[in-house]
Amino acid sequence: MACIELKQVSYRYPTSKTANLKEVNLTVESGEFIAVIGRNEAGKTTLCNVIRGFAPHFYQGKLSGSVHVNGKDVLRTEIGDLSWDVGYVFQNPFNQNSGVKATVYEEISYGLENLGIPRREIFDRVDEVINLLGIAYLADKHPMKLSGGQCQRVALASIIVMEPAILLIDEPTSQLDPKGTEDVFKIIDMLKKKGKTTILVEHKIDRVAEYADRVILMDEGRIVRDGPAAQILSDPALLEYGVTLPQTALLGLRLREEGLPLERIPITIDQAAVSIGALRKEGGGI
Amino acid sequence: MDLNQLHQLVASSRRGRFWLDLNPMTKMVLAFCEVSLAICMPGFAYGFLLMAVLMLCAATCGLGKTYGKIMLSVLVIFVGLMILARALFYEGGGEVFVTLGRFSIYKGGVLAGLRASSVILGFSSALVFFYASTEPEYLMLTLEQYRCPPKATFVILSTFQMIPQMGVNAKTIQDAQRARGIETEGSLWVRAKAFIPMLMPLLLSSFSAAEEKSLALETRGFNYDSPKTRLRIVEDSKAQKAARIGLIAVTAAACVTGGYFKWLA
Ligand SMILES: Nc1ncnc2c1ncn2[C@@H]1O[C@H](COP(=O)(O)OP(=O)(O)OP(=O)(O)O)[C@@H](O)[C@H]1O
Ligand SMILES: [Mg+2]
Repeated sequence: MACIELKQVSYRYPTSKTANLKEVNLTVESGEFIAVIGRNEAGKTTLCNVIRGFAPHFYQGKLSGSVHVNGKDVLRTEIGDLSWDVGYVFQNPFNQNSGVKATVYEEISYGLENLGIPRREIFDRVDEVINLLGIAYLADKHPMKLSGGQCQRVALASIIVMEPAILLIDEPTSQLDPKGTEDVFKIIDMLKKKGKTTILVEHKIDRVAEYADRVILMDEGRIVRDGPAAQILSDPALLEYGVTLPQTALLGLRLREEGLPLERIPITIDQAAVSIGALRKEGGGI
Repeated sequence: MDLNQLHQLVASSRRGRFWLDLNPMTKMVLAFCEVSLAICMPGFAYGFLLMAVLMLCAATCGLGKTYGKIMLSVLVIFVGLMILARALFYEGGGEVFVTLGRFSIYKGGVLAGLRASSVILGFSSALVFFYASTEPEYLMLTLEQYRCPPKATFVILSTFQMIPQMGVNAKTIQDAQRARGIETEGSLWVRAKAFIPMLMPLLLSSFSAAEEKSLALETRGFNYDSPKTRLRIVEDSKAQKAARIGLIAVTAAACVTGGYFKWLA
């Protein structure tokens, strides 16, 4: 079942001179894990805003085309009615907390309180998420006294505890070190195994290659590529859109240039090992 | 603190100290009565007495330092100035209190200063004690129980919680200014000059933060149309309800009598 469907969507923020999204068509099946890539200002965040209904409901501005999420016509749905369908973790890790809670524990519980979940269940669900993200050590801290990376984890926890069917996650690892990044991707991967639909905006291309099923490339408000990760991320044309390729894809392309008969361009280390291993068996010169 | 301890902290508003455990509405009524009395009571003993009594109360629930510090500065800055001003600019004549060189300070002036200070002290000690002894979150919950709309309670509560945030922002901006060569330390005048350019970024960042914040709230179901659950529970009792009504009645009576005597005087 398609759980997100955008048809011919164009959108312009009121203060913007040109359209910020142009004729976007996008169909997302339930359970897919999609990564959105593209240079700065490409329109990635705007795409998320449209799916969540913030554009145009909050930002105003002009939107043409149709947006359906979880069977609801977003343009005709109150902004508050999508809280349960779509979880959205923002790009800016700060300013994401409610500002009314004195501990991280209660900050994470805030969404569930607003949805009217019974108390007992809130305690259980918050505990579970805290343990899942390994942030028990933050639970009694004040939400406004966290570092960037800690904020990002708490923001993620605050959304996934609400168990929305669809997750929009906008650059969740910008403030995290490699270990923290890896942890976050593992969590997203685990959510995918639970059947959540995830749209992730992310610049760290090697991680995208490893985890995403499908990759969307945006440029100047348009979707310019949309397909399986392996296909999109091995295409040298990506470089023209200001995004880099995974290290292993660059290596693969280079090896081909050197005349090695690489059957396919690897995008992860595992794939690289297989491809290069195959060369060796064929006695391809290594 | 492990998660079980946190559950307990969240689940009960009891902290094991009498003043902390009173229902916020009781404390609010109490503060309201104290302030009303400060206005209506004749003489100057009331404000000073209230300040001292609340100091004792604060000390019994571990708030002695917080309360004492604030009240000390109120005492020195406002009350000191008030008495001085009233005493120096008193035009009523009458009995001389002390003579300092060419100046005579009249007893009437000192008394007027003391009376005005009593009102200030009554106000400030009641409010300071209320804020110090009430967790903002419980205040909000109580207001909600009295049918204050969630949007209004949100504004109140986020203002409480914003104060530490503003401090952090101000420091960041100050560091940036210092890096660009604006002096932020030194005499009062130097600091005042540095303060004005700081206001702009502080306000602007607050504005853009407000936009993001309202979206963040949206994602957390703030406008989701359903009765909300609250993890924290505010405790109340029949005794406290009775006490509130009693307090209001006694205060009203005292105010009327006190006001009458004040009017006579
Ligand atoms: N609130 C807004 N009002 C007006 N214009 C906006 C607003 N937000 C974004 N834009 C503009 O829309 C375009 C797309 O921005 P968007 O934030 O979607 O890009 P992005 O791909 O998320 O970039 P980044 O990687 O920097 O986050 C940009 O030209 C930007 O200036
Ligand atoms: Mg963005």
